Amino acid sequence: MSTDWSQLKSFEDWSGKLRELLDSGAKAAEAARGDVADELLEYADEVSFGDLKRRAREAVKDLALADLQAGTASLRSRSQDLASQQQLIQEVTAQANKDAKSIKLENLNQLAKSATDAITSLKEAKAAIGNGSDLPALATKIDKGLSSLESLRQSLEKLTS
Amino acid sequence: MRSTARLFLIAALSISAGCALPDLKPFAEATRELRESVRQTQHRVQADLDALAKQDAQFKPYAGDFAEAWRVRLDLLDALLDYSASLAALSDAGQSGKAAAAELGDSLNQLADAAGQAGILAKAAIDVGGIVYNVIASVRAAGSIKDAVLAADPAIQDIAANLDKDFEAISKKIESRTVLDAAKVFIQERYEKERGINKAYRSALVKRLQALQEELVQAQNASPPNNSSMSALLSVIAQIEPRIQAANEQLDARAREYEAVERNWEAGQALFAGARKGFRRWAAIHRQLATGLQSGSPPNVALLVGTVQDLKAILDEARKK
Repeated sequence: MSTDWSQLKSFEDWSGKLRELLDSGAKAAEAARGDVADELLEYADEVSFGDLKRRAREAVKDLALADLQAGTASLRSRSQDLASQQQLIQEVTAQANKDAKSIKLENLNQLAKSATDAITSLKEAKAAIGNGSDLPALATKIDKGLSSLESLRQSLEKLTS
Repeated sequence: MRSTARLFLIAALSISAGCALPDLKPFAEATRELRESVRQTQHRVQADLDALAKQDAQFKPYAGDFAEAWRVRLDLLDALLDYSASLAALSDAGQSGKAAAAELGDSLNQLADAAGQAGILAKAAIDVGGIVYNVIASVRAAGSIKDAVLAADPAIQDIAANLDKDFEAISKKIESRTVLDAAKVFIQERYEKERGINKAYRSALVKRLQALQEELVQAQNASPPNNSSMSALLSVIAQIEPRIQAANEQLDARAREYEAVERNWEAGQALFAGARKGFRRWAAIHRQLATGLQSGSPPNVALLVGTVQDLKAILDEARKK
């Protein structure tokens, strides 16, 4: 579509051309709407009648807005699907990370370190209380705690041997 | 080493021979590349839509809609990066089984010391345990990778298909030729408002000049030549010619602005086309991994690496524009 603008003289010539372009825009298939918009843009530059110029420009914007509406609606229509797929991927990822942690024995290692820290702390507490303490019950409890941790240590040892 | 331990070690090593960990780097690299394209697409399209919305409030809702929809895609790509990192973590865990066992051995020794006993895990025991566990870790990691890749593959294929449609919608609708023309309309309007320039104005000046030049020829050809008329005509012509020259310069400046938005648009189209190809390749890489793991044969690493290189070349080329 190429127009010799110099052939359009009167208001009727120019308004007739605008009608023709607007009709083409309404009927054009998706791919051809860009060509119509190109020509409307050129028309708006060449025409000297203010009202026709304004209408041509509005028509270009309307075509653009229609495309934007269709495009963003298309994105929105898939957002829910993508969110579901994301959830599935996150579940697989969580399991894989858990497996990696387990293979690297991180949990067991952490357990052993925690138990070591606990034993050290309890020993320090018991030493602070002293043998002749007025708090024999607490010392007994600490002894029991140490004993439990010792069992835990033995379990860990069995688990990892 | 006791003979039972040696036998166990030999048996474990035999099992591990069929359990080589797949090379997951190509998939992780491809995922990073695609995330970059998705991020660049967001910046480019959002900037274009925001610019339109600034010119005309009718465009504003679409700038908001795009931002919201694309946020979902960016979150998804982050999740995919995490997924590829988790596969790498599994591979790493499988390869560092000996170190993991040794670290645990050290921790248990410290625990034994803290409990007031001598270290109960002799160095030799830790070493043997480490070697054996290395094999176990490798087998476990290979199994976990297989489970993860097979579970994720249908979603990965759907994601690639959906993102392909997204980029098609961006290319044909959100960054369509009509949207480009709308951006040019705003440039036209600005030149008219600020400088009073358009092609209609220049055409009117050119027509006026032509009419004056015809009148000048008639005045020259008159008998006797109409000197006073000629002088007046030449004076008007002398005023119009610089105005046409100035109009041409303004229209040239406007044409350069048109070209800039056109180049930006073409670069965007190249990026979207590159990303579409990229997502297809990316899905193919994952499918190759899944197929290889399912059939028990190792994935074709050379093919994977070649595919990633192709993908990177496509995206690099698209980004250069």
